[in-house]
Amino acid sequence: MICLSGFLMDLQESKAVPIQRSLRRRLKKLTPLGLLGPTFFFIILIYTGALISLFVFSFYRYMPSGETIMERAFILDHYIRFLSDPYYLNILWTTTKFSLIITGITLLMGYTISYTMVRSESRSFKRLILMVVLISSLVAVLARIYSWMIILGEEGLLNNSLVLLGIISNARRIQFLGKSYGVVIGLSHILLPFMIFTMAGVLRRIDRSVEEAAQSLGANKVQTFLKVTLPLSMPAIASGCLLVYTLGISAFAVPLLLGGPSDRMISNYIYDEFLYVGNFPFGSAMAFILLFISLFIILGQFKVLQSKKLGGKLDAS
Amino acid sequence: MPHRKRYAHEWNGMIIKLIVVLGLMFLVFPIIVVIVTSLNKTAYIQFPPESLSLKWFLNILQKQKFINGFKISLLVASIVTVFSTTSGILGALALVRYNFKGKGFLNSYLLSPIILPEVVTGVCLLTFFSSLGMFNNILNLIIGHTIITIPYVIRTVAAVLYRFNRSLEEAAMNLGANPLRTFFKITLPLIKTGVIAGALFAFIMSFDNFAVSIFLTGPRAETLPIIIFMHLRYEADPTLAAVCTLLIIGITALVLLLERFMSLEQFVGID
Repeated sequence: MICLSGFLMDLQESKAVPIQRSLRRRLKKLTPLGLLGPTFFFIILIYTGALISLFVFSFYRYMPSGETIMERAFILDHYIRFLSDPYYLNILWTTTKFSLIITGITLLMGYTISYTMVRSESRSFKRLILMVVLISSLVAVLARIYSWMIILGEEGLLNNSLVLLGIISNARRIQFLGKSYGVVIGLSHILLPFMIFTMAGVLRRIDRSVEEAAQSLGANKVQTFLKVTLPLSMPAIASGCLLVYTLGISAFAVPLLLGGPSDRMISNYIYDEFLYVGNFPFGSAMAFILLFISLFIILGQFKVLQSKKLGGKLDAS
Repeated sequence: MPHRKRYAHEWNGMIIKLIVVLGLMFLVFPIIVVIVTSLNKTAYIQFPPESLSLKWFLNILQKQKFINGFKISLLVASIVTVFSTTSGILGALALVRYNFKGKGFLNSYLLSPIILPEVVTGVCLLTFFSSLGMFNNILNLIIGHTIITIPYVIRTVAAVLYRFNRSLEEAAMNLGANPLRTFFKITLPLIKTGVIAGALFAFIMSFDNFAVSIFLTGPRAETLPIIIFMHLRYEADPTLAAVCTLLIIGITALVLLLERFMSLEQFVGID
């Protein structure tokens, strides 16, 4: 999955090994192209082709009575409709709101777990954390959603326990599902491992001796953390947050199954537009609005990682 | 004064430990709940269960759709793993070993299918395939999953390729091995861990995919996640918990098996 920021960095930092001098230099120039052939077929030809055709559709005119549903045109109506109608802006707001809340929750839990894991002296404890996080992140997403349904349902585990403990009465069971709680809990559960692994990838590069130096100069643990560790962790925090935020705004299954009608996020509306409403051009425009937002955030992540490289003199590795 | 400070440190330590333990419990708890539910004798959910039984596991055999879904997912994920592993290894070789124009951009571009919204991927492939008249759902699923899994393989293989010493390959070539032989005898064994990690990721991501599959699936090509999804919406009984428990056991076994080949840190890319 998982340590995406690490990947971005590896590829950015690498300088390819110079091609060894050879008589068949000309042939060699074509080799990378040949090697990339299959990848190009899938990602450039099909994926990019599909994205471009969807982008073109987003400017077409919707013709509900026509035979092909849409008519060739170049109009910005769908984008304008989405960005000017309060109904759709509200969808964007719900999506943003959930994503921000989840980023906050996973940051708090993820940073603590990630830091503990990276700094732990005990191999077996490290392995335990890693094992728990990895297995929980690889278990089928729908299995985990199903489990949260069992836990949070009206007759579910949590409500039953609360009734049993006498905290709530049987008549006043709390509706966790079909409310925002369900979405927040479910998405946090799914995205927490991403946060942990992404941050661990960057945090492990912080040189421990800097912290030790601060402490030997008389700083206490809290001061060391606030003045040394936290500033050095900033790239880790930023890349973790940006990744979780991007994955958060594209959430689909969790709001569909754990949320109520007002908790549906933009991906759910895109799905409905294509599968039920049938307004393909408008659906395409929505898809591209989501895509642009994600791209914008990913570019932000690149910037963060680059600035980290410039200021990374304390970096041990 | 000094001892008050020490108390503060202990408090901080306690709070950190508490968050770590709670966080890990938060991750594990739903998995335990599914397993316990699948062993529950009664159809409604009881916790802790009054009596245990394996009848929900036997019940899976009665529900043909789960078995069919499993078969389709296995078929799709296996072919996808072959496609994306082959493409990914070759792609990583090109990106690590050669310099060419636009390489930096290509690096990030080829990674994009992982980060860009899955629903957008699903929707664009759906419209693209139907405008080309491609209505073979299995084939469409295979292509769609290959697109989103190639980046994982490129990432894990490239990470290993950066590390190892090229001189071994050059030695083999100097001793007269042709490039193909060098690749299979020298390069491939050296990048083995990256290949295994990438292939495993590709398999799991394909087997587990839902958001792209839901656009590409059809009546005779419903993958297991799609079947689980329909079951969840309309009739969630403990048979589903039994199916999920089997998936959990499968994943755990895979991770334990994986540890024989590489450290988990290596697998997730934080070693």
